[in-house]
Amino acid sequence: MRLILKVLLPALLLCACMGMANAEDEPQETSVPLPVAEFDLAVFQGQVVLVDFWASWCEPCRHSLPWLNEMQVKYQDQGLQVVMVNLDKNYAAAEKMAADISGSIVQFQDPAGELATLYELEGMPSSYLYDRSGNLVSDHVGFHQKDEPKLEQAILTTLTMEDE
Amino acid sequence: MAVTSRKGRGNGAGGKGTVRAAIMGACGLLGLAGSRAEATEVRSALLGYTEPNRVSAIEAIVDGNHDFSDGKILNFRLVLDALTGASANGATPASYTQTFTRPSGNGSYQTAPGETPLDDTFKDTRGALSVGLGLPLNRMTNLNFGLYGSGEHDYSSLGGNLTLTRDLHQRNTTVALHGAYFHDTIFPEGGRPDPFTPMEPEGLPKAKLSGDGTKEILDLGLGVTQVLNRKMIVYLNYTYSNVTGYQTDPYKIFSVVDPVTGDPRATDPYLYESRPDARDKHILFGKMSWHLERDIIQLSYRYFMDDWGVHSNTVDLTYRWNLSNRTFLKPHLRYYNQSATDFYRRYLVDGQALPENVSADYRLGDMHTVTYGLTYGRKLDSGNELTLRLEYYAQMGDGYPPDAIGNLKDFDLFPTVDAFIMQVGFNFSLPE
Amino acid sequence: MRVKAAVGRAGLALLLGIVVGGATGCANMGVKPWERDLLAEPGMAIDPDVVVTALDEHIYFSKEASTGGLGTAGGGCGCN
Repeated sequence: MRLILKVLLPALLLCACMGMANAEDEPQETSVPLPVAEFDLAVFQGQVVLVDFWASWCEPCRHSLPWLNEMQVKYQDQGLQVVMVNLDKNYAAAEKMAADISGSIVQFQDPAGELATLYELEGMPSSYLYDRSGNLVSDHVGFHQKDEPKLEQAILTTLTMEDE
Repeated sequence: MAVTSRKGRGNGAGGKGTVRAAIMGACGLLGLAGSRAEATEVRSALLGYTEPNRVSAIEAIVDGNHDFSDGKILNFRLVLDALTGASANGATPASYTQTFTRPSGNGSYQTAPGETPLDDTFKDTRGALSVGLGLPLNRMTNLNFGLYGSGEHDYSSLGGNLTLTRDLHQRNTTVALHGAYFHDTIFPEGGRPDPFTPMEPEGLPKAKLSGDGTKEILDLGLGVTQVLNRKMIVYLNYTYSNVTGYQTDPYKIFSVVDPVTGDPRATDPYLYESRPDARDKHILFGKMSWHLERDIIQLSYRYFMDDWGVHSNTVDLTYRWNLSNRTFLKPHLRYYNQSATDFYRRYLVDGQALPENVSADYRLGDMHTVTYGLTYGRKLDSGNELTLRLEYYAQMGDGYPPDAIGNLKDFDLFPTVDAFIMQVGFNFSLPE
Repeated sequence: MRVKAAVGRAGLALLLGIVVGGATGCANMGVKPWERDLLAEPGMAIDPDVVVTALDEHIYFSKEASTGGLGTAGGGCGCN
């Protein structure tokens, strides 16, 4: 019995993990990105929104994808909605990477950089955190693994903020 | 609203989400969470260089960059090379067979009439190691420290460098300040010959300078990079370099020839060379990268000037022809010309006064060089890249100067030196 | 000799062009952070292959009287 637990369980876990890595086996498909003209934060009233601007050619953006997925899955029940805005001029270049994005994340395409211009992005990637009333709480430029705890704390704090 | 066009079970029930979160967490523990930071990129290559009938060399290099999760970068580079073959010793051809003594003093070699004297003593291996650490001071500023060390059987070098880079205008502009210092030690085979003393026949002691030679190098540089538009970026860099200490080549001689025949004079025909012990250099370098939607052109120009009298121009052009998003072909063209140092003399004539410094090393003479090359690169399924580079390099100078005297008129005093270069490269990423 | 002078003059003109172009209105030149897709390509880096540069510099340093000058450049994706 113990042998089964020691060998089988990790093996099953490994298989489950390998399954996670395969987008095709994913029960949750990545969502179809929407045109940026439809971007409207009002839709997410009552939820904490994390808007993230990314592109396929941006190396740190690639590193932030798994973390964004993790945040969405971990906190969506508490009301977090991650919104990703892709800035590739040609979305085809981003498709492969976008396939790894969790289906619960709302995606937009902004090939002409219209939304990016409105937001006056300072660098890539850029993220903006909004509270449940739609107020901007914080913004962050760039992505380093060491910043993950700090960024996650900001999300948690905003989720548990008392409504005014 | 538009939100309804989402596919999948995004807002899944709590149960599914919790199990998924647990598995993803476990996957994280097993290191399968996806491409996180902390990557190590390695570039390696093996290069073969050969000048038919002259020098051949093999060089191996490994260069690695490790990105830490906080933005720090560690760089490491190891170079190993082995050199063999013959190189010109500085003497002129003669109308008879010449005999020269090897640097160790034990042994000699001969040169046929009319041929350029070449010393084939050398078999040398060299190793060099550099380590660097890049520290982000803030989002726009970076400081890089580097240490360098190299050693071969007759030379060693130890140095350090510091580079400060600052980005401006949303990273459209980058300014870099660079400083480096090296301390070199020269301990040639057979000792350092006393300049202007004669090359003695084998077995006889040569006049020597005591101890090892030392040389100090200080470099200071300032560079600016500017993005012009979505397809073009330019770079300009100025470097000042100061070298003090022993800069003479202990293995090089020059011929003192008979004023009528042009052949080496009867007594002490070969004297050891001498170079100044101070050198100030100024280097101006500019480069441009231009993206043509699919292919990329890169053009650079370097102007070099020093107080030894050298003025040089280097133009380098490459065209990266992207055959697909995995393969490319890159032709390369480089043109270089230099004016001789003030103390360069192909030979001295018996009877004329000895200048303060003299060198007949063709690498300090009036010359121009051309390089033609082609690189083929291919990205493999694993994401690793393989490259193959072939180049032809020729060094040319005036072999028949109008003022050549006597028999020297009949000899090629600067034969073209051809070299073939082949390099195989492999670039890969190390797993987490 | 004429070729040398011509190359020298052309080269200095190119450099001067870069300096003047770079110095005047540097603040307004350039692209937005999300428009660096082409600049992010490895082939666009001022030094696209540090290994080739290191190997070539060693060859030319051993065979010619001039050295170095490359320095450190910026560019790239401009991320983080």
